[in-house]
Amino acid sequence: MNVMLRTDRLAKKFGRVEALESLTVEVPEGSVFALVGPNGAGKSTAMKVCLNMLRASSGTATVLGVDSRKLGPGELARVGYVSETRQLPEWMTVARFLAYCREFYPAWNDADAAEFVRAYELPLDRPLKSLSRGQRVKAAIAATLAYHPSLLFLDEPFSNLDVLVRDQVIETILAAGAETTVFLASHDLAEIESFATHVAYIDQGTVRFTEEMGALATRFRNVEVVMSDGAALPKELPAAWLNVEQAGAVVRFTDSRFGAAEHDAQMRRVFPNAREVNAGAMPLRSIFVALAKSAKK
Amino acid sequence: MRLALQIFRKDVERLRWPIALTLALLAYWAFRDATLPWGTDPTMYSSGSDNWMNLAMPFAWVLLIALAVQEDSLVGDRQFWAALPCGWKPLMMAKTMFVAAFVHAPYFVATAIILAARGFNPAAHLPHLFWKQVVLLALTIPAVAAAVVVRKASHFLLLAIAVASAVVLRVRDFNVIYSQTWVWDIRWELALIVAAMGALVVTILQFIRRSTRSSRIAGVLTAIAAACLYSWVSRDATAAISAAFSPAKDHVTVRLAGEGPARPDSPWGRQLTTVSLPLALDGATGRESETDAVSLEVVTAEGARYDVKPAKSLNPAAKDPIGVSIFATGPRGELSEDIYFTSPQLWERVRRGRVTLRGRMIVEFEDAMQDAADRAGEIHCQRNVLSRSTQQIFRAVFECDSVEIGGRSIRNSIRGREPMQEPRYSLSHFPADTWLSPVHRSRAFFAGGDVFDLRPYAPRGFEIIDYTIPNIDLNPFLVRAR
Repeated sequence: MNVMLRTDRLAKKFGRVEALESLTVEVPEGSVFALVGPNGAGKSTAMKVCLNMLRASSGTATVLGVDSRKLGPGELARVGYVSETRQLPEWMTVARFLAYCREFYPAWNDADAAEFVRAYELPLDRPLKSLSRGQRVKAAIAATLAYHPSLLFLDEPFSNLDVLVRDQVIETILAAGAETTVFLASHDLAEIESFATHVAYIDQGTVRFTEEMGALATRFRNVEVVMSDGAALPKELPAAWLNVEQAGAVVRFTDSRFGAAEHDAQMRRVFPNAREVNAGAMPLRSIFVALAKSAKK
Repeated sequence: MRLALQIFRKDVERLRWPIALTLALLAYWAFRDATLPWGTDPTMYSSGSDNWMNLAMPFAWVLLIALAVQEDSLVGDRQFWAALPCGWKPLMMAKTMFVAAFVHAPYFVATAIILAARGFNPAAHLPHLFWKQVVLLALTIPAVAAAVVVRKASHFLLLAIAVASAVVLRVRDFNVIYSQTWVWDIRWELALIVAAMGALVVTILQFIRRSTRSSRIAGVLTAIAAACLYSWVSRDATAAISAAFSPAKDHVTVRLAGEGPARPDSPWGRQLTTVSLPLALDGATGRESETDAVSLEVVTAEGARYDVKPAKSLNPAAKDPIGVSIFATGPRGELSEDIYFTSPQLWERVRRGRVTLRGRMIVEFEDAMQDAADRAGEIHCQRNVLSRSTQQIFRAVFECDSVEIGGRSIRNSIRGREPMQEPRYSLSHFPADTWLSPVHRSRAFFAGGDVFDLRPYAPRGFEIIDYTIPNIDLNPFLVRAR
């Protein structure tokens, strides 16, 4: 498995504020890797450090096999970056913007650029500053996918976009999936659930876990146990059980290691007189809510 | 190169109106500088509105530079270009091309046109024109350095206004205080050289590393170093540097002249005792252009020694008890060394016996040029054009609006005993002239019987001269109080 992006205990401080504490992830080739977490978790900072737009305080990032601090034009020609905070040359018309970008990328494909313009219905003669937010994102994505990047960084590309535009952009990204590895930062879990292959959860600058989406969905379960009596739970509960709540004879919790070998033994030890056990699959959003609540406790 | 051109073209397209405005301003300045009447001071020392172009033009240039650099700002982490496959070299090259194309090249053309309009052959004075370009670099490099470390163009504007204000205040001060101490002028150049070199380092570092904090610290340290150099460099050092940069290579000696030119009464009355010694230079092959005292020691017969500081001003309120200035006061460049005693007690001690003077002076020499310009011999004395102070002088000399000179003797019947100085019309002095104009039109004073010689002169170099005048009685040289 080729790794397109690897970070090793990557950290970034702004003065005394630790924006990124210790990010260690590996993004395999061909994957859609989602870095998720609440606003201010350090996702954008991580991307900018990977792209050498910010200097890491410690740790390393390797992009396309090259230390991010040594990224040169050769590597950047194979990297795409679309960010909601990126300052585009707003005075340029869409046509001028595409023509300007074209010169920087040897792999630029005019036909593909024209196709994106057509599909996105981009007005070529209008300046970027007069476009809607959705149109600007489309223009940025068109200018990025036209050179078929090997690795595409997307920093909150869908925030504040309407549903139609968002679906259109996702479709485009998925269509490029065969040749483009995507590293995506988002706080909107619902939008990435449908197409991300890997996910890393980051909170307060620290990665809580990183996993394949399929494994994650299998591992997390909402568990409800109905006991024959209302006996109190033991003080020592398995660490993998999150947000345990008891209401009379009913106990609910999130099991973050559902299906593990020791799972059955743990259930028997904690609930020796369980009358009924129900374990339900969890959507990604619920998993992260459970994780966030657990982290606060 | 391809990417550099791409970025350059983008900047030109984006900044076409500011570029046009700057070029229009330059064209206006060049036209005025080429056509202004002789005798108008092209520096900011005088108050003429045209002379403020010396500030307005650089201000326009640095703003244009800031706009170009800020098009691809090096500060922050949101820039569009930062993720483009474009290294620092094409980006820096593009900005360099912009500055060269829209600041340096137009200025070069403008100065060449002014020289031609004033009767000089620009091709024969290319070194001089290139020197003006070097001087301009002392403006453009720091401007680029400031632009690469500020977050926004508006921040740069605030910084530029602050620096321009400081320059204006300093120049106004300069006019009053240092009018007699031109040798110290080179402190400006020394400070500018340090500032430009530091700015170059800051610029390159910021382009390569985009480490704004480090670059800003380096910039501040550079500014402090330049300010310290300006404040602390000694008069001896400035004289030595001038002579080292541009030696005259003459073997000149100084002696007490038997009879000096008549000096006017001291304008300071009894507040200041002035002794005026007529000096003569022997062995000079060129014409003396400027003379300045570097140091003087007065040794009395009793062995008391007084280190005489070169006067910063003719102000009797000066703190030093004794000061010295050297003037060219004669129509043929005769010198007077004036020693000022602000302390009456000190003068009383010195006047009792004979003294020995050990001095050091620096002289700038100039040579008459062969390509004398036709228009250099033409004076336009238009009363409504000249500034008030200049107009008074010219009115006294001329009773007409326009006078053809050409070696003609013009008699001033009104103010025949005023100090005299030959009018000059030459290229800028090297290396002390940092004003925009490629020609130097010094103000002049006229007296009865003067022969106007408006041949152009070119600066040749500097000479430091040590001299001793032994066993002299200062009393006969006392200047009468007005």
